[in-house]
Amino acid sequence: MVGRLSSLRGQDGAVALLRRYFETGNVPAGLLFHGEEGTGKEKAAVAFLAALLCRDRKEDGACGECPDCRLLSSGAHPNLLRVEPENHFIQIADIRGLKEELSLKAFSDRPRGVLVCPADRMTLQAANALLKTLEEPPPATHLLLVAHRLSWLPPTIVSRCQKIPFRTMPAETVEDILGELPEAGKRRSKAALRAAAACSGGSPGRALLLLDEMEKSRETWAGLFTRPDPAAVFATSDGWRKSEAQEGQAAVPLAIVRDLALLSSGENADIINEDLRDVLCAIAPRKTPQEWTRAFRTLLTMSRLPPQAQKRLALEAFLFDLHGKD
Amino acid sequence: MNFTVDRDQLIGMLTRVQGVAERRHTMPVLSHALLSVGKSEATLVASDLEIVVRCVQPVEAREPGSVAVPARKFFDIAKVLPKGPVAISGKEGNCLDISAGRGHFRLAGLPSQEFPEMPEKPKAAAVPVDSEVFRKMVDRVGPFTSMDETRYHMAGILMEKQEAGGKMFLRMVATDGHRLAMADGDVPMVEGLLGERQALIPKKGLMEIRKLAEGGPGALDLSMSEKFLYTGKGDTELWVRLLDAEFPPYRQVMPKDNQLTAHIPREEFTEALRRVLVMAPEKVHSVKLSFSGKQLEVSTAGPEHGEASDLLGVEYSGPPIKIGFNGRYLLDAFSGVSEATARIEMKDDVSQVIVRPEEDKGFLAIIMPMRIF
Repeated sequence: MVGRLSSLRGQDGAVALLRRYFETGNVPAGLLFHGEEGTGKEKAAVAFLAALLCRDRKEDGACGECPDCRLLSSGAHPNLLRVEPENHFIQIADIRGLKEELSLKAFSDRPRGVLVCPADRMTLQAANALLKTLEEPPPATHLLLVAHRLSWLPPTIVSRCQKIPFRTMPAETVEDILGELPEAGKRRSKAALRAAAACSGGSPGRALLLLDEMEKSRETWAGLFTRPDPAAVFATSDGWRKSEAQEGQAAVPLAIVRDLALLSSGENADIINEDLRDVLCAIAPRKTPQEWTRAFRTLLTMSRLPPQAQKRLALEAFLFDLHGKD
Repeated sequence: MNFTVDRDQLIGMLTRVQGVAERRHTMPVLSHALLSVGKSEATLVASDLEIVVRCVQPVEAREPGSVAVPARKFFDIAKVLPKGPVAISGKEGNCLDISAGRGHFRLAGLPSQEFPEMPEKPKAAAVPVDSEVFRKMVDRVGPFTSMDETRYHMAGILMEKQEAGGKMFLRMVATDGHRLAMADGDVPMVEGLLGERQALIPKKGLMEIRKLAEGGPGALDLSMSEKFLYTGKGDTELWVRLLDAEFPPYRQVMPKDNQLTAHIPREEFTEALRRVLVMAPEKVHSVKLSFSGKQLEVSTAGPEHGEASDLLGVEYSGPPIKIGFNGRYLLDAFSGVSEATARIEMKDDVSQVIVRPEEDKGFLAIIMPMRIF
């Protein structure tokens, strides 16, 4: 079942903008949904496309019952084209395939929707190949680009799209959203939800990923910051290499280092990992607040490395460097 | 759903549709064929969203219904069934029970609602086109379409109405930017199909129609909607999605004052060309034609392998001229000529030349020469 626009939480600005396109009947050909990962961009884009393709559109979006909606929810609508990365990137061949498809007349009489997700994974060549289509799309065709990092997209792409910004939310909103999700709310403790929400950087999607990660790795990380155990370092960095969601993984050490920096500077309130306070209090004095802050910055940079970066090496270097003087 | 069908009839239906059902597609339902049973007939529909094929056969129907079944698997099953009647019935959970003799199969399918809605038959009356005329035209222009994946407007074949000498023709034009072919076919009622419209048909779809034209006697019934070219023949119907692009204004490249005409024996020339092409440089396949008096020398020289040349007698009265071509292009052009003699009309060694049959006005190819030093 495809979601509705109204089911999108904490993005009132974006939803209002999208609604207005329908009200005025003036839907732009190129739309760029951008904002932190996990803030609901793809969900919104799919709901928007559903409303566009639905032949019995309600005020709130797609009706969910007409043949178009049924096809859409089974992923077989002939007028919806998805472009997704294979092996991390969207290549020029993928865009050429899309252009070939678009060179034919639309299969059904409904408008045609293209979803490029995530668009910031397009190679430069792929992005360049898309420029002309973005500028002069075939009639009744709408291109929706979903990008987690606006800065990774060439400015030529960005300037050809109407931008729909998705904001990060206050930790309380994220916690509320998590609480309502069937896969999180009932099964997890309140404290776990709060910690995940606090570490998520305002993104419910990332908070959800973190829920699992947190339970497993928080204590490991506390240990890694205490003293360097090469075996533990390699085990953790190996996990980083294998996993796709490094961005989520970095949130745990980030939260811990943040707490350590606060504690070492004598600040006691606003600790994210409240339940680990005793452990953290013991580690904090080992370094100066400046050193913890520098570690925090390094981790932050690492969490934003492009997908092809050797994150495993970066992590090993970071940890050994941190403990180098001990 | 419940019906009985003859095994050979079932194989016939599946042969026609399973080639179109896509095997590796992002939409799993497209590897399926939609099987529906009405009062007294069974229909199979398959599509890759570029081409839609539909096949209807009368069957002994007991209960109507529809389900999407994996086309390839269904075909594999049909092929191994014993000869004779096959009982097919739909079961709960979109399963299909297939029984013949003592054999029994249960094939898992998908709900019919997941199958994309297929286009309707165009409202305009169908125009009959002789199958053989159509097939010949496609063969003549087919090799001239562009393989360049960035030039979509040339990946298709243009169809338009052509009037000459009080007769109506269907014209097909294809080009890749280096060469162009144009074929006219006798279609008296073409006005009803195209009017003043130019339609661009993807090559893949046109080849599918050609296959239909080739299979068995009878004319093709063509009609056109805004998005599709519809073809019906016997129990099979095809919809081909049109290209939404503008074809280059091809009349502008028709040379007007190509005065140097050579009359060339087709078979002798293509044989000589084939011989020489063996030694031609790969990729460009460059060959040189040297006309002087009644003689034509076909030659090539490649840096890798060496040289080749062949001589043949032709009718040519102009001044001696040497002109280079991609030999493959010449072969494609000459394969569109069915008469014994073909004409090459030239202006100089850099302007486009015309290749056409001596008499038949229904075919013409234009090729850009190549500079060979």
